[in-house]
Amino acid sequence: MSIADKAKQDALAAYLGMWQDFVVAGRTSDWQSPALGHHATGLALQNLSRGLYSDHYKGLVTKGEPILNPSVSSAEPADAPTKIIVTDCGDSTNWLKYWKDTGERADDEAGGRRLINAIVEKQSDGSWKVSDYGVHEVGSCG
Amino acid sequence: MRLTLRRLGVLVGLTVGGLLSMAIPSLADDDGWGETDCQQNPTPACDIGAGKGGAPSPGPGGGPGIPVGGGGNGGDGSDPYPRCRYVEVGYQDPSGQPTESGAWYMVVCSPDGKDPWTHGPVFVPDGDNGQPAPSPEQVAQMARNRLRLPAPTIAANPVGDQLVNLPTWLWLSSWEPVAATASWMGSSLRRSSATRSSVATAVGRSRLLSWST
Repeated sequence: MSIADKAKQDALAAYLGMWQDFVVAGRTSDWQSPALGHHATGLALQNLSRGLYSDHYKGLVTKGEPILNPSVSSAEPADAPTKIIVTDCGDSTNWLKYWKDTGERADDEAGGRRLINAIVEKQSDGSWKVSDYGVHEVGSCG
Repeated sequence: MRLTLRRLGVLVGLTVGGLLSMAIPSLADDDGWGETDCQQNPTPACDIGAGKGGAPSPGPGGGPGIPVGGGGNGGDGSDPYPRCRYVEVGYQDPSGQPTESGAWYMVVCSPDGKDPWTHGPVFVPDGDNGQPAPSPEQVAQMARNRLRLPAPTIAANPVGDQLVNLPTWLWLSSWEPVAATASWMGSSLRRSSATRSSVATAVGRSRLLSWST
């Protein structure tokens, strides 16, 4: 496996790992979960934590999990990437918010497919972490 | 035929002035990404692919809006969310607290904070008066939501039961304009006014009397 291919593989693993950590933390809206920092840093980590804090404040938890199918859309520099853009069309149909006290759905609005772009960068220790991501509105991808 | 004033149905038209054109604020979607998406957090990654057919990202200042009613007041004339307030919370940022002194706040838009507009946490430096503020249009909308035109009072002569073929005078009171103001954190003062433009009164089964300015 080439250096570039290994980098892409690691970047995709970091992307998937970040959402998996977020899914687990979201079950209890654990905004202080140390796991959030395993695959995310910077703006991405802040957004994850603040989103969970907002849910924690409101008394919401998230149940289920999204369906992800990411791919690498760019890598630079090409021969030994340190910054990779991952693009996804995430499906949140079965990953929704509920009131913690009653167990009822927070809203009747359904989830759906969202365009996601994530910036994954190689850290100084050699690991790959998502440094920023953008999740667009429901219906923003096919 | 007898006609009593209790049978009069009244339709009231309004003319409302002020800065009133604005979009209803978008709410967070109700899925796992709802509080972290580009609508709530328009980070640089939201611009990736922009102009290439990707989804448009919110412009600067995007994010959750301030509740302004949007015309839906539940039918009883009350505004359930007249304004949001900042509530200090004990949030700690995972990337380390900001170096400048200040505090984290939730922007809470209902008594229990369980409404779709409540959002945060946001960091507000000490002495900073530049908190995320509503636009002038949103402040104007707040003022509009506080407008309450008094119900017109119908008077008649003869008073009480009316008689067929006996001319009856009907008139209205409370035609004066009303005004309301709203401000945000001591600034962005906006004033909206409303004037009743017409009143239609159903008399009997088929006749409609109308007044207008």
